[in-house]
Amino acid sequence: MKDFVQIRDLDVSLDKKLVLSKVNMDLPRGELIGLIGPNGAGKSTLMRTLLRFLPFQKGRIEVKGQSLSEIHRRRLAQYFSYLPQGASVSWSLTAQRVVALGRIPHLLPWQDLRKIDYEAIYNAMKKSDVLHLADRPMDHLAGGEKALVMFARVLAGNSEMILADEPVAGLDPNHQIQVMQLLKDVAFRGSGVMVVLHDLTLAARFCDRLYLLREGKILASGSAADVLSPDNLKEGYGINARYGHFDQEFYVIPWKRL
Amino acid sequence: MKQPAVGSKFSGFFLFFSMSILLLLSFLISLNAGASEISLWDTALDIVHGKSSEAVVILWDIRMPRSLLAVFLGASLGLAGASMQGLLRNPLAEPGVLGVNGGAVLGAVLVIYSGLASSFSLALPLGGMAGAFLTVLILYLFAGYMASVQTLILAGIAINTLAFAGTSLVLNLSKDPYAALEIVFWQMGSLTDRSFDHLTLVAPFVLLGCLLLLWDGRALNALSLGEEAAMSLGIPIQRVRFRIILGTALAVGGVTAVCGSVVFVGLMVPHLFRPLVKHEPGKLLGISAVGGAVLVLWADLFVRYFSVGTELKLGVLTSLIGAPFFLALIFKMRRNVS
Repeated sequence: MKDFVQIRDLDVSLDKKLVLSKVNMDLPRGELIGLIGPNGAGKSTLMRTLLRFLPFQKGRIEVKGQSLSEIHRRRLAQYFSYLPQGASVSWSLTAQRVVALGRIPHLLPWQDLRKIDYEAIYNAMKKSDVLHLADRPMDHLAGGEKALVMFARVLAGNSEMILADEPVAGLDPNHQIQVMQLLKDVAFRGSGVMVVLHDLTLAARFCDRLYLLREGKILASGSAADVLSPDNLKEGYGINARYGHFDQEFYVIPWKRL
Repeated sequence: MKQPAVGSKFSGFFLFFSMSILLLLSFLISLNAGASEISLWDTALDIVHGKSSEAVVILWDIRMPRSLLAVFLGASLGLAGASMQGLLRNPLAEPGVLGVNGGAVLGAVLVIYSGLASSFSLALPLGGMAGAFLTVLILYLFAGYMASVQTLILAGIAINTLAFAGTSLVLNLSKDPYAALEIVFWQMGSLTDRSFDHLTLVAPFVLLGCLLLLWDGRALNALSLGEEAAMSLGIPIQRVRFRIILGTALAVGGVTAVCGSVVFVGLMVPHLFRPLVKHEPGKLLGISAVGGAVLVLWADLFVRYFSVGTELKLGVLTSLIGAPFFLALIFKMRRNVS
């Protein structure tokens, strides 16, 4: 069977500069897929191309066997939900109303929230551990609480795949681990999750599969132990790392510039 | 299961309902106000029975268009202000940011200057409407359909400045001091001596504009997450932007063409109601239209009551209330930031 998303020979140019070239990916559901690579490698561009924010010049993207460009935007919103980087809310909305926005792809124009929508909102908030914040305005929440509410918003969409752009940037270690664990749980329950990460330690520990991008090309893909090998880290980031095992789990700590 | 949102829906309905009652009362008070004492009920009966009397003329031909225009003006400005603030995600935005009313004023002023205004009575509002549409055309010509919000605001500022410069140039070159005075007074914004002809001319544009502006409540809610997040929720952001800009041009351009420039209503009204709808930009739309209409009806009543001899202009009054309000808003925002 085909994977949920198939990317073949993808080229993306921005301002006539090639940002992604000859990218091939198969993104199944049920796995936590990490997208890593140095700044400017094209990680966000790839995500934004999948979300159709950017056009692509060459290649083919298929979601559920259907060409990306032919999918209706409402259906696309049901396939992918997107957690932007450092997400913020403009107005002083309550946490619950923010989470409710995640239901928009499932509502017809002018349709009110239905019972199943309230259930989805409630479940998403419960899983993200933000039920106690339901009636608090977003601008009164601390950074970690805000991130969890935004995560609940994405979760409430019950989409087939979550695309998260650096969801742990700016969070304390406790919240970083919480968010990664939540993403892992979502994948474990069968949804697709693709996440852009800069933290290699978290990537190694939580992701089932990694793609290492550099200058618009995929340098390596596979398990954390394979992708984060000394050679790949040297070529990808120009660093070396310390490796180890704890409780049979592999870990990696970026150590030194080369 | 916990469903607090149901409660807020009810309170939203209650707010809208009570504001609508207030609007109706304000409208009746506005109809009742005037130099000559007439009975609203008896005159209304006369109108229904097709009898003509002095009271009918006063109520139907003089007061009715004025009060209806006040509702149009207030509703358009309040609604466009709420939409613009939601679209630009900025509490300091108002319908004027894109230059629509600047363009309408220039169009109307050119009509006064050229002398067309005295040749037929609807030349003035037609000129204003043309100005408003040209503004939007120029806006899209320069900023493009795919423009970002920042580009649109910058283009709006430039167009506004240009329109203001054009208006000043017309005043500057005006050889006829009477025409110059007329331009200055017209610009200040007023509802005096407007007839049903004015009303029926702009009504289709204003109503269509308001309809377009009311369309995108959910999109504005989604936009509070940012443009890309809204797009990922399936909101067609370019189309939403186009509808709101076109709606503003139709509604605000329409009322400005007839009433002149009335500012600050579009800025103030959304702020007054935002806490009452729990800061939801979508829910703010309808209530801002109703609230704007009430505000302008009362401002016009105030203007009529205090105009002895020289007419106090409506636009002057709204600026007098609005500017301190604006300062208070900035003061509050500064405190929130620090």
